[in-house]
Amino acid sequence: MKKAVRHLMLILLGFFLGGSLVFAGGENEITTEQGREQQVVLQSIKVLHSWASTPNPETLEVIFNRFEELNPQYKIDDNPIPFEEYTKMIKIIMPSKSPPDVIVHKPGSNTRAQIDAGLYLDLTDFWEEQNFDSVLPEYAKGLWTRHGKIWGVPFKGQVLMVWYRPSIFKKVGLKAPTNWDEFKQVCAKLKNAGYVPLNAGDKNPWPATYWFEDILLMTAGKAFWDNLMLGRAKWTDPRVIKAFEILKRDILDPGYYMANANAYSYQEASRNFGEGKAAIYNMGSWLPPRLWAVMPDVDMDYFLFPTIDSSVERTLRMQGDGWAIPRKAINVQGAKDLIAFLSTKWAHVTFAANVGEPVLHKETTADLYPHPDELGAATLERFKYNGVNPLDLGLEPIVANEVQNLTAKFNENPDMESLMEDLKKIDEVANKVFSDIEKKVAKGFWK
Amino acid sequence: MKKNKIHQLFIVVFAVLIAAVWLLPMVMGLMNSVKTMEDIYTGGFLSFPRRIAIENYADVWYKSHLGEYFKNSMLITISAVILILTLACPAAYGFARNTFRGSSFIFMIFLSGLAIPLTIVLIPLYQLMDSFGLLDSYFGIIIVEASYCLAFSIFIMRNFFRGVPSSLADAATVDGCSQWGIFLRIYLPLAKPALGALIVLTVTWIWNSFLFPLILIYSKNKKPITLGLAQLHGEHISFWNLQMAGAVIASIVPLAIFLAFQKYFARGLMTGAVKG
Amino acid sequence: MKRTILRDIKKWWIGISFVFPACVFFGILILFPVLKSIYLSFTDYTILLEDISLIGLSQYSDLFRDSKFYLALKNTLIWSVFYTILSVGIGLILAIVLNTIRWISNILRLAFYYPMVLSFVVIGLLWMWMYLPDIGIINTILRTIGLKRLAVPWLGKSSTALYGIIVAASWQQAAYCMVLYLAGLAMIPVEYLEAAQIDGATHLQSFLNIVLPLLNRVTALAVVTTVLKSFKVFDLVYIMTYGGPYRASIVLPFFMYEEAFHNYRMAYGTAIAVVSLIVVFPFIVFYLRHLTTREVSE
Repeated sequence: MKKAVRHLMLILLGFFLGGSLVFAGGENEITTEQGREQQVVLQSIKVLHSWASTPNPETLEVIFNRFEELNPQYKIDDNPIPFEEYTKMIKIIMPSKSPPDVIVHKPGSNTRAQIDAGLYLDLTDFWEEQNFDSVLPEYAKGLWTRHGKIWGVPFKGQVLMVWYRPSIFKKVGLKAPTNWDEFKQVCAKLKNAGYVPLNAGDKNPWPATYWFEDILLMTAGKAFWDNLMLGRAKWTDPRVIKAFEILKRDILDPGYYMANANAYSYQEASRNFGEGKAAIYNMGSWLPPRLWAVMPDVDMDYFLFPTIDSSVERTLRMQGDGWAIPRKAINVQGAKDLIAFLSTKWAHVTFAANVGEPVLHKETTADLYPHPDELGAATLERFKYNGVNPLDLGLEPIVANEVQNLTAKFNENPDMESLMEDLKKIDEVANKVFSDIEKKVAKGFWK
Repeated sequence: MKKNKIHQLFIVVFAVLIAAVWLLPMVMGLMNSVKTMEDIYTGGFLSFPRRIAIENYADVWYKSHLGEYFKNSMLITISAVILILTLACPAAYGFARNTFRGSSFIFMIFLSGLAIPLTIVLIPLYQLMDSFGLLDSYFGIIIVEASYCLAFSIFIMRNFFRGVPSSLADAATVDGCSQWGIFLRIYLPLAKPALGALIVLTVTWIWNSFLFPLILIYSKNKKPITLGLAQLHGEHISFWNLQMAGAVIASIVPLAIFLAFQKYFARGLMTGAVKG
Repeated sequence: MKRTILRDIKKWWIGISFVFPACVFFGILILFPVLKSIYLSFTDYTILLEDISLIGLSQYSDLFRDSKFYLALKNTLIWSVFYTILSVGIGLILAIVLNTIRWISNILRLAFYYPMVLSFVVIGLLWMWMYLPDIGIINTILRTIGLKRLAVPWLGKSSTALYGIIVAASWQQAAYCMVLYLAGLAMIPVEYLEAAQIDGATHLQSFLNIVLPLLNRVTALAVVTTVLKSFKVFDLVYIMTYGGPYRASIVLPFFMYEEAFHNYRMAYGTAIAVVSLIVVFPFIVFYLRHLTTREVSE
């Protein structure tokens, strides 16, 4: 009798364990053998992406469904994750032994460490086969290139602009400024008229450095910026300090910057902009579609960052988010087929027209976008100027974090002395970080 | 006498005030979960909704997939609790009745598990799960969650079993009953109140668990609701009403269990243990 | 001879079979990771590269030179102190209140206790909204009663962010302390208090001199468990401020998470975890001692 009961318990335990194993691996357990011609057997392509935080997130589903229609042997296992969470999760997921088949990422410092560790699949040959050079812009390809190889396929490219409210400007009798003096006057007049000139939501805190970045680019130029991002220039360089001084003197001290910026995320702060409390917002082109989704009647336009030093060539801050394949992905062929499809004009056009975010296909035009004169026109600026990643993507995360925190602090309390000390510390941190990177690259895992 | 009555009155008023303050967050959450954002912008958090925007819940359940996460949480919680009961009850019996030499020593080791901060195990656990391909799997998260409740579960059950008079067991042994027989036929049936406390506590903890799923789960079809809620927050960061609806959904199960089984909670906590 | 040995082995095996499965799970998923963490803290393991080498105490020396570590440690210690004082104090008050007015105490108990069943994510979100500078309830109330100067961005200012989170956490933990105290109060014989009243003691006197000392064991337990819990907080910080503003609210578990999973410095993360364990160790010992001595007295 007792033996039977004990056996029963063991059987129950077994059932439980077996049952949960059934739920274990999920859909990746579906066979991925390619030789079989059966229509019943579906290959699963596991996609992990952060592009469900866009307006009209169903658009990607529509695109995926079309892919499944055209390729009935595939089934897409779609896993959208909100953007801020995604950047954290992808770091944990990429190094694992069972990553998804297709991921998205913002190229730059985020991908650098992972590329160096050999976590990405080399797509150089794939790029050649698909002849992506003919449809995707050079700067975006450059963002995804490291050690002479290509590691991802760019899809959308946000551009960072200075957005403003034309109706407020008209009310106060202002025109969009083209140089720094005009800009200062615009801010002063806005402040007098009772508006907050410059909106900000720095909680995260990557937006905190936006004004500093543009000032630095427009005074020191692209070459210095590149060196700074790659650890070849110092943060205590006089050009960096000068940028902070301009920030303090012309924006922070006169009180043009939004108060309490550190308590709100950029999305929460967008309300100030949409409701007309603040007139100018230095933010990426992801802002307008999202704001229009909530407040469709808000008028928004952009102006290029005002020239500070006319001898410095203009450089825009732009991104080249794209698709990539982890090296340990299970269904590599499926992943490649999917990415090839996603790089077609149809996919780009569908995404642009419905989501309103700037895509990178060379044949897309401004009229695709809602508000073609504002958003559409902004996206075309990308093809006219040099481009760099913004700081949070171009600079190594550890150092970027320090700079962002430092700037957030500075925005609230612009004290040049404590800034100097912080910058010195950042130099030390950067030194160590970049020499570590050199050592890791030397190990050659990425080959 | 009169002084006592006035005294009592003061205390009652004081208590009701504090209770109101204590309930405020939940009331705010509930009320704002059925408002539209315009209502919140115009009236603030303390105003009554102009109409009950129940579509917030539908929105969050279907479009933001919280319904799926709810189902995942149920699966994880129920499986983990079953596993815990299966492991902890016999173990507690073994320790309580000292069924083998060295059981008290091993019990001490389990005790230490009561106070271990999670951070010390996070990284190797991630490695372990990864090397067995259990990252992002139900099996993985279930065994992890269960193991982390083991120390406390064994502690509670053992405490209870120690209170069972050994005369019962002795009588059974005389009748020829084996250890397992004693356990299954005598101790387990008696243990219902303690089991009740254990179940409500572990269900609450596992349902509310956040750190383990954060590291070990990412797929939509396995994500538990706490993780889903945190991501909902990131996704709809300025849509407070949607997030609150999500928070309500995430809290329904623990709250319902709490309301239905209050005394089990108190009993469980009074053993004075803290979960790891 | 053989038969008795066999029988002994069988008996031993049956005895072990009760705890064996639990030991397997515990050993693999708890003990082994703890030991592995300690081992990893002496290596240069970053999850990205597959080669690990032992590098002695380098992670620790880096740790002790890292200002962020001291910040996290300081914050965690502040957390321990305030969290414990608030939770235990409020818990005691609540318990006394409930104890004095027995007739509606059941309903009130629900109101005080429910935060304990909420997940930290939910608590974090609720309080985050209460703390919103312009529209949050706390500041709205402060403004209506005229304390406009106090209506600061609680989670947005580095000087108040940590305390804001601690208050939210105490809101929950007070319930636990309350339960402990209620049990403790229930065990105080009424005769003691009556005897004191006959001797002419006021309520306050009898409280301070009789009740409180009798609650010493409960207070010790409440304090120790709350302190232990304060070293584990992660979810709340993650949700409410993510360590901000500019790192003002990082605590040790959060610091470890960031270093390990975001900066990919896993070995460094384990060093942080080991140090955290060492810091909290005396409390663990005290706590375990308490648990085992209770058994002796039973």
